[in-house]
Amino acid sequence: MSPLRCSTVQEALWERAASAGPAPLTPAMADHLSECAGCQAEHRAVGELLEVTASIPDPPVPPDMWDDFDVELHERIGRASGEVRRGPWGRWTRRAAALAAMLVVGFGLGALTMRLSRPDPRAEAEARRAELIAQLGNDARLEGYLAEIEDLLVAYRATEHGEAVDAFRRSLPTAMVAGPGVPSELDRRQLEAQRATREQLRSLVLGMLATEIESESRGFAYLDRRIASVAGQQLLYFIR
Amino acid sequence: MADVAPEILSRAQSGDSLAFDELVRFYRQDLLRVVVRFVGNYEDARDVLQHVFIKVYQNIERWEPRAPFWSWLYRIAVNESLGWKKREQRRYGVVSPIEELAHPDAGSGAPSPLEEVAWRDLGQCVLDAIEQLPEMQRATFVLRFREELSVKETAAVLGCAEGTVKANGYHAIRRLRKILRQHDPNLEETDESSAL
Repeated sequence: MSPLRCSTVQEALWERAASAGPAPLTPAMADHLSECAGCQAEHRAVGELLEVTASIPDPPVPPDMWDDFDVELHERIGRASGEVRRGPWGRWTRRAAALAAMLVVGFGLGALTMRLSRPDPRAEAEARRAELIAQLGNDARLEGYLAEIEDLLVAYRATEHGEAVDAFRRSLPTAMVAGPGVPSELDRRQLEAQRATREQLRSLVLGMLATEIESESRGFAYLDRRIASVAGQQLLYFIR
Repeated sequence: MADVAPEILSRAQSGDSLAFDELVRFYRQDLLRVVVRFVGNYEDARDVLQHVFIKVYQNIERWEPRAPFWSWLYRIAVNESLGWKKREQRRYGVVSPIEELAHPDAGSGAPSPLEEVAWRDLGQCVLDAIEQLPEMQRATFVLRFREELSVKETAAVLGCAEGTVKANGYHAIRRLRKILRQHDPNLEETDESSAL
């Protein structure tokens, strides 16, 4: 028996089966395989597994499988295209309306709570941020968020970070709610940091192939989470 | 895997709905086979396939001939199928779309592993075992060994490196062997004591 462990040989067998072609075993492995009944059985079993896998018959396609398939597809495409035309702005508007309602309630409750107990503002902001991100959710779409954030930052930059904060606030989309007060220096620094985050996000988006973004659902989910996070931070700024 | 004629593809990209219909008819059988191998039944596979072609319709103008068109379609089909599985699992918990075969003696006590293996078809065992694989290992294994795509083709479909395909294939085979060993009394566990 060659001085090889069975596990080593069997790992090589699995690796060999998973690779492109039947790469020959090393002499030591071939030697071990010729003498070890356990590894021979594993070798046969792996071959049988792959052979059976390839030969498992699919159940027969139902005879009415393609009946009205094209008609139904055209109807669905029509509906989906309508949704696309309404697009992310429609979703954004609905979401913003929900956010606005939530914020109104939040402000009301917040004011009441502040009168009553003056809670920790940091904890309150964190909770509100969590609510916002949950509200934005994974179904938020790339274009809507990017356009929204783009508008916010373009408008902000247009003020040259100067005194014209009102111009910036007036430039906010009507569906969004601008918070009270002029941003403090701390807020401005935070917004600068958010700008940097947004630039990273933009690089990430541009760096990905459009087709991959569209077809790679995991990529979408990741981007959605990332964008929701950034958008949540942006919105948090305005309600703080 | 053959691709549709370039002029049909080009016309479909330009918004020609007749060319798109032709494209759908050209690929739907192959894509149905891929989808049903993930989804497990034709009723749901038909629905998933509709979503696949809607995505294709919405994005076809962005497709660029860096890779074969069919691999792009496969990628969408695999993603849609995996997305469907995730949604089903969230909705109903763990689902096994491959119809479970009931052992004839199930009512009179649990069958022994030997009886189980004797009764069950090995193919059914393999399908059940595949269902237990993690998502990417399952996708890799199905594409490599059910669809019999090459490592390179599988990498193109899954949008990952060939090394990743090999690694996922290795882990899938390893895990499947462990699962199937539990059902196969004739195979002994690795005998580490035989190492010298």
